Amino acid sequence: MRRSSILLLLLFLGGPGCGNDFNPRSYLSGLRVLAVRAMPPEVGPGQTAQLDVLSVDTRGRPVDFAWAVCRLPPIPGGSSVRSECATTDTAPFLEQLGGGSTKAVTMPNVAPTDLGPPDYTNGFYLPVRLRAETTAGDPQRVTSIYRLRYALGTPPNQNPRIADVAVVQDGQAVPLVEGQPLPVRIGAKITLRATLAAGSVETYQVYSGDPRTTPPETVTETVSVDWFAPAGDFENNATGEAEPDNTLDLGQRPPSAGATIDLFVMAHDERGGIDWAHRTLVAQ
Amino acid sequence: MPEGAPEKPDAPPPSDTPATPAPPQEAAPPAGVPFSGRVLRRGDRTPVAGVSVLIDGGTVEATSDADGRFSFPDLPVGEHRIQLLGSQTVPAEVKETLSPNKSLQVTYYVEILERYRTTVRGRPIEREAVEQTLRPEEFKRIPGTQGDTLKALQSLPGVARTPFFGGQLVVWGSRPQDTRTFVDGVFVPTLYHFGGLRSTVNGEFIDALVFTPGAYGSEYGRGIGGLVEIQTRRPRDQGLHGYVQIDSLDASFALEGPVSKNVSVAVGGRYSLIQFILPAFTPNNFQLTPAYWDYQAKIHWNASPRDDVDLFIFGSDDTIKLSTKNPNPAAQAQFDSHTFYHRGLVRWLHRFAGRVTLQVTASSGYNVPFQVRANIGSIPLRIDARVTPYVLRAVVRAPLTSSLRLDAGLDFEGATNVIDAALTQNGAPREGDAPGPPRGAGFATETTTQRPAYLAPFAALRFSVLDRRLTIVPSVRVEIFNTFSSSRYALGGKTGRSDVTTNFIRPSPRLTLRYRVSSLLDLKAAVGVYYQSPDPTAISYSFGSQRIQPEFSIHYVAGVEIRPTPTLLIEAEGFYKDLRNLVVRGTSAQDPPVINDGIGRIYGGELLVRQELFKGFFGWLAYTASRSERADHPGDPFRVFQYDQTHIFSIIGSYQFRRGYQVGIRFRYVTGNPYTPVTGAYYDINEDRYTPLYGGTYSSRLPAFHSLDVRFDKTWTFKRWRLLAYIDIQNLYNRRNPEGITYNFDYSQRQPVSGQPLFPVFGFRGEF
Repeated sequence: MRRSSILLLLLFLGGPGCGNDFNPRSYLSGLRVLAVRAMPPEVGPGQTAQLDVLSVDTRGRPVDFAWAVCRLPPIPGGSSVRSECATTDTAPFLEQLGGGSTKAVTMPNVAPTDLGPPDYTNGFYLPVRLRAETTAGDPQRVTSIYRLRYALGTPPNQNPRIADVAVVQDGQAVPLVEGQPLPVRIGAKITLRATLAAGSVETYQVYSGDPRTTPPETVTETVSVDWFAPAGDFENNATGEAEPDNTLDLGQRPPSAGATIDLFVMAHDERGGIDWAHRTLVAQ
Repeated sequence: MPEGAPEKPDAPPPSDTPATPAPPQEAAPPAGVPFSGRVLRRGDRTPVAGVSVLIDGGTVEATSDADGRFSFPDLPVGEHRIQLLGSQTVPAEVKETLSPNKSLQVTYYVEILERYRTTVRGRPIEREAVEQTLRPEEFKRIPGTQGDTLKALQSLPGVARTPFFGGQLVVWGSRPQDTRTFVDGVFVPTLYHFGGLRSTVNGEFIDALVFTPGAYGSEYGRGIGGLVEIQTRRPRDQGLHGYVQIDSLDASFALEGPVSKNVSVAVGGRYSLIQFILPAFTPNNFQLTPAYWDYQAKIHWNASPRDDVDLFIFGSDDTIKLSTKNPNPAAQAQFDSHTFYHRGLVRWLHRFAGRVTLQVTASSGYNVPFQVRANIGSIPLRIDARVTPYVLRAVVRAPLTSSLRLDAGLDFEGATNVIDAALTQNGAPREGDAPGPPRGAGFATETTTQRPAYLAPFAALRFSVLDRRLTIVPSVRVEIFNTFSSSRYALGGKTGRSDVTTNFIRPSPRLTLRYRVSSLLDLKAAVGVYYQSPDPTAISYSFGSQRIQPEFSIHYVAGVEIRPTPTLLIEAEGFYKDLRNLVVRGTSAQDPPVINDGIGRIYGGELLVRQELFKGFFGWLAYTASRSERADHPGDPFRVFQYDQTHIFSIIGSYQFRRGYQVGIRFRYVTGNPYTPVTGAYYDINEDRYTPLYGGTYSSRLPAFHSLDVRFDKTWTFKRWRLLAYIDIQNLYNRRNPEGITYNFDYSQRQPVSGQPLFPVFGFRGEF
């Protein structure tokens, strides 16, 4: 068993993207699905949530979407979603929902355990597959899976909310306004800050100790903020509430003069709650 | 004074060890004075027996006894020429002057002809069909192992190369946990510090390592792979001896000597230094702190001419702390692991009349073989195993006639295991798992108490026929696996309890044949059935199955053994292993996390040409060609095993030059390990990361591994102690051996991950 602990350690160390020359995740190139947001993010059996997608194609190609619900429950100890949900085009376990950038999804009238085993937040989920595909130019297809959380009767999870995206100049945060691009100099390093609205970080209960002696423990959500842009390098791919500042270095992967830089900020918790914001910069 | 010449002691010899004068040859009163002394090995003061002490060219002569002592009761007064001649010592000469009415006692330190020492110990009659024995004088000097005990095993045929620190034993295509290691007959759970950096049992305490890759006899069981027996030695009973060693990895010491006429004691310990060195090589936002220590204490009591009693206390402790700092709370990781074991072992050997012996070994201790507390963002992962083992082994060896012998006994292993865990239901990593960080469906919290009580009576009859050319050893072992497990779990917001007792009785017949064609040539064959209890993490309500059954295998071996000279051995074997009931992952949502659906087959051949230490040289050439395959579920096609390596080739040579210099080299060529390729990925929006889609399990293979390791030793021998300096360089030509594949964030790009670069270890060792 001891070797397993070493293996575990090395796996932690050796996840994707460690110590290499790859483009960072925050750098946008080609077609990307950045997020799917459900409103509300947790629904009971028979209830409906409205899902919408945040995607970007840096080459400006038109994109088609195809939504499907996957009713294949995951295997205990396996991946959160069966790989067949991502790879199969048509199958009895796939319920095709059609296209569009938004979709209404209804939680089936089943027991939560019919959806598979719970995750570490005691959550049961309905997998919803979204395929995004360019319809002109070089074909590109991206598969994403969002898992809609089954409401168990405990206080439901809510989406976090991004209150503000600002540029920090001389210690002062100046809010960026959607539709009003901020001029920036090519080669400059810009400090950006994303602020979460009050109440975005919620609490919930899990068993974490010996279940014979320890009652459920109240834990606080982890809300991460991901940053994306088609130019420059972020100091960090993601930040959090405690350390909200990030630096965009426009000396790396510099934009061309006059180019509009789309800046995407996405906040998510570990129970399927998501929010995003879009701002723009103009390179000078 | 020429090298090797005797030297007088700096102080008078101990008064409580007077030489015993030989009885006078004649009745006449002595005309001279007594002259006596001891002959000790220069450097460590070991008594040297069989050295002829010649007076004045041989007019009078005495020979040193087992204690190194010699005496002349009556030598004429005046100056004498003393010559010391021995078959294994450098000839030496010195002059002594005897004064009237004054006896003279001296100590001579002589140089041993190490380069011509041989390690031949006669042909053991109880060898398994395939078995290799390594002695300290060899495993301490193998390049690339830093003199480590168990790492030396990895250069023997049949042992695969494992990545990372290379500490796992993958024998004849079996998983590391299938090969069991015993210290004086007692199973030890942790062989290596920090995944292979060092053995947890100090090589100074070891007399021999006996390695059997398969088809071993009935005295051992509960493992479907190979067998490693560590035989510890008795503490030295003449004088105080010891050593201190320090190198880039750790510092260690040992002390031993007699405390009374019948009792001798040895103590030793080791403490890592790597935790002081590593921070200089890691960035500020990444802290990795490994620390380890181990200890050994052994008491030997020669209780009577018929009874020996040994007490051996040993243990090991490893701590690993890892933390990364990141502004993203979901990317912050903290990993703490503290694992250890402590063991006490008492062994009593009684010799009855008629060469019948009884050996009883009892052992207990306390282990934490697996303990991890980690936070990856808000995901709390915890597994904490606490084991209290108790072991009893009794063996009777009874020669019934000159060609018939019975060995029989009882082997009991019991324990109380308590495992606290909070993690995804895949539990511990398993062979065949997709690589990557823990993810997955099902998160459970569980405390499991297990009480395994494994009993195995065994018997082996050894007899020879055909003018003792053919030796036949039929044996049987009955494995009785009794396990009580009680799981208290919390799964999906619900709690529960499940108590299960399982009983499995599995007979394990075995047979070994050896036919001596001539004094140079033996033919051999063996077959045996082996059972193994699943690892404790598999016996669980949430992470495994409380009704999981033992795995089993059948081993078949046939080969030939040629010994052209007393120290040169050529062996060739073919082997086949049939694996059944292997523990694998469940396939449907209705299955428990693990089931007994797996099967496997392993076949291959190996060649060993081995020159034991002779005229300053030892070395070997080992080559294994094999294929190890598994089918995880009924109807699945066979796939290769995680560490399947088609070709494993190693060549080792070490030569002692004069003036204390020694040079060794090791070259290895090994087929690359298989890996499971990534064929695509999807974006898991909830987890905010891409989940890879895999191709066939282990259906791709890394490029071959090859490496040259070199070791230089220089020994300075002083009168009472020796100083050794060494440098052990691994991967001398800095080959970038691929050990894995790394991918970009969405798995659309890949790069190889290189293993250990050129890695020198410097060290010093003083011994006396």
